[in-house]
Amino acid sequence: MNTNESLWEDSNQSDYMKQSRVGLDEALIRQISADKNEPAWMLERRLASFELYKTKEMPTWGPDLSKLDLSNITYYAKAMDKPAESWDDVPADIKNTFDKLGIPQAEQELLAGVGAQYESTAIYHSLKQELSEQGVIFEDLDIALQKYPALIEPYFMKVMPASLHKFAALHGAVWSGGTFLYIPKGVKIEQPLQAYFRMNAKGMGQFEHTLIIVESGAEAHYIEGCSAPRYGVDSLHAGGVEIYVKEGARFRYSSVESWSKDAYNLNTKRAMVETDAHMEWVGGNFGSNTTMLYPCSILKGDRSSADHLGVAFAGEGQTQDTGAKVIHIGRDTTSNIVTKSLSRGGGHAIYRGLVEISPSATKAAASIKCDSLILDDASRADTIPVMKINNETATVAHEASTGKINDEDLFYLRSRGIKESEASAMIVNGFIEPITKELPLEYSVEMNRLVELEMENSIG
Amino acid sequence: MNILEVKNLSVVTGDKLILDDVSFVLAEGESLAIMGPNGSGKSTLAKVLLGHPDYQVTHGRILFKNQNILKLKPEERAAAGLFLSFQEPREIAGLDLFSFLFDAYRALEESRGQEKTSVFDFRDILDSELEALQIKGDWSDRQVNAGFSGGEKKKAELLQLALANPKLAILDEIDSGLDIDALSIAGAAINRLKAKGTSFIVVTHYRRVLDYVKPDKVLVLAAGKVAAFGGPELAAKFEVEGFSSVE
Amino acid sequence: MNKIIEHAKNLKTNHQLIVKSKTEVFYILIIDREVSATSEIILESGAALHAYYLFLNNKSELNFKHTINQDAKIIARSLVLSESELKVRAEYDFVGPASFGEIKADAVLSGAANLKYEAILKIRPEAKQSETRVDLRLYLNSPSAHGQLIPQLEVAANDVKAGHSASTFKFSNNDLFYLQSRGLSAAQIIALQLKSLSNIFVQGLDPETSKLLLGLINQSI
Repeated sequence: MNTNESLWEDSNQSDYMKQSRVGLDEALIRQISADKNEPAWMLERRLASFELYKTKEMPTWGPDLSKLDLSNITYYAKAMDKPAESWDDVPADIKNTFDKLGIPQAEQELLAGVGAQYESTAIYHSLKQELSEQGVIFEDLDIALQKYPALIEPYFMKVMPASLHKFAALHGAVWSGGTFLYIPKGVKIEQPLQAYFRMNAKGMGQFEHTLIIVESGAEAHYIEGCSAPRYGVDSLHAGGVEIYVKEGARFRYSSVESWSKDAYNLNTKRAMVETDAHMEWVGGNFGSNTTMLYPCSILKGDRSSADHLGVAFAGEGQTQDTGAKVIHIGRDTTSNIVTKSLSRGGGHAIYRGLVEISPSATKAAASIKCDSLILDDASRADTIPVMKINNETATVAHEASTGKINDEDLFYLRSRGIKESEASAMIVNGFIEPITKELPLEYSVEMNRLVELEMENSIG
Repeated sequence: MNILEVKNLSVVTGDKLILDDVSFVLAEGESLAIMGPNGSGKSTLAKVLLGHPDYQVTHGRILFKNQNILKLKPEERAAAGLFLSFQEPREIAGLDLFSFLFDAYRALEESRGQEKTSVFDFRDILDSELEALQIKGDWSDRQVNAGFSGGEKKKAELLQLALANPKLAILDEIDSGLDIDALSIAGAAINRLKAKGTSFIVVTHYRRVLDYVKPDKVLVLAAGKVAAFGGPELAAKFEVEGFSSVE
Repeated sequence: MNKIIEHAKNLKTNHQLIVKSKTEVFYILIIDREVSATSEIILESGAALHAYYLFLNNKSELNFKHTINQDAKIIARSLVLSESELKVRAEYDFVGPASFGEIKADAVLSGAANLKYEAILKIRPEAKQSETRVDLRLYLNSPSAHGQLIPQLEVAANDVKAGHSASTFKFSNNDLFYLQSRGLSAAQIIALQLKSLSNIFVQGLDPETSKLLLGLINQSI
């Protein structure tokens, strides 16, 4: 029914890989910085991050990362000398891949602008006239760093410091490409802004950095989706997303990640939410060998709030260790976490959450609902929520349930003539509907299709 | 004697003025109906009489049996003989209903210097009140208003009203959520207490309760101010005209 | 009725309790003084254990590992009253089919209490058709009280019902006003809350044991 799977097999090996090399050292970092013509402060920060990376240990908790060989990864490669201004300028083989995957072209009305990253250098950004007139900056981060260094400097890796953990430090040292999105005061953008990129060359690491600043009273929705073809050698993705939601602003960050089955997806995503501001994370995690992803909202301002909605699907040989972190600091803050996880074929889905109510967080309200469906008897689901309550006026409620597809529901659908695998897929899609309905149509359709594919593989 | 005198009462919540220079009196043994359109401050006035912490009195006095009660905490006003039946009784799961009823009964006895009733005698008192209110079923292992229907909650309020045996009972919208039968039971309960000398303030929007409790006085509020204060004929007037003349 | 009442002072550092196949045991553990201990509790197939864990205001560190075999059933209740530091780690390992677990814990923290309560539910692949639940509730009654709740679920079998919840409870201003307007002072309200939780805690116990435990609770406040 769906031939997407085979498309992702084509490796589209381009000759640009000859310019890259494997492994990480100071010389490579200097090369990256020089190639990109970065301000001195950025090079200094990269080097400081590298020092931290060398000293930090691998995480002692979470999924097994022992097979990840950090010395055998290509950390940087250039695809083009400079970004393309329009679709015509994009190299043919890259366009070819995008066409096969059916990626809509940027000129379509629905998209306000498209940034596509190929390997480590963004190649294409097209910004619609109206957006630039409003002062919105939606730009490749490498370029934005040169055009607006003073705007970026105070924010870059502030809410996501290199000291967080080993992969944040690695990211700080070798980050390359990514998106800079700046929404000026009071500007409200209705159309979702998208970036669609993919990891391609064998053993390529992805270290893109997304920096989003939403000034006071502004509103926007940004979508990131990725896919990567299968490879034998480990692929590593240690990206970073930092979002600053200023006073009274509202922002939604959606991402549907479907990495190749041998990728390591170790991302860091964090948002700082100011007074009366609201942040939403909507995510779907499929594929990858091992994912560790815990979007974090820091509710710094009074009356700030965050919603975390997520789906994680762990198939054969996969570990999805995902969750949410919310730190309540201001007064009268609210958080709402809803996660759904699915595991099948021996897959292991883990929800790991942290809700921390600081002593200053008077009258905080936190609600967490995590449900897991285990689709066969070889698979597993864990729920590990930690609630740290340091203010007595808090209201925290966490509820989780785990089980299998209800036999009665399945029988009901089958008795109406629906095949077992389809019936299972319908039930599973219904299970995740509270999250998929928050995504734009094409993404929720993609998520449903990914689910159907997985269900078909498990039964058919 | 006047059981209650409210003099030039002004009340704010935060920086919003909810009651503005409200004055009225109620003689002992009489009933007062408080009426007015939505948002007029009727419920707020009821809560302020019992000292709700969300409201601050910025001006005026409340004299209960000639004593200014503004400095008294809610439990002290209850001990003095005031009772408020809530428009939306609080659901507090985890709090055992029987224990709550008994503890409250004993707390009032203690603060009024009365002899303490044993838990066994209290059980009997409770049973007779449950019967008088035609409350069926065993309420002894339920929790405070948790899982109660709207009608059950109002009956639970009337139960507590009977147990508290107050000098002045303030009923906030007792008639909302009650069907005809329940309303007549409520009316009977109120009149039982009236016969014993309890004064009543009945805050009402729908007025159905006034068929059972004939008011001696009527206070009409609009936008936090007194729009009218007079005899029972006011109730009939506003029933016919509605509140548009004062809104 | 098979009843075992154990006090902290008699608790060995490594303590073990085996509930024999097809027997029903009531186990009451009273932690009323500082102790650091690991308790291993094994339910053989078809066994039933009603466990009552009472923690009365002391600095202790306790580790419980329960293993529940086929057709066995555990109903565990904890009541924590604390003004100081307390660490409890309770693991419930369901290893056999058709096993059952209902675990509830209420923790009332006042003063400078600092609680870390971990309730770990493990459902092994062999524990098909098992039904388990953990419900934790935290009542914070002072500004300097802290609590950390970790209700962990590790499920490796799919034909199961497993769930957990953790929540905090706090009287709202409206709740307090309601109760106070009925004549109760703030102190009386806290006492009422404790009485209610204590009554829930001793449910299922014979009157003599209930009285003992309620007496101990009253003494400790």
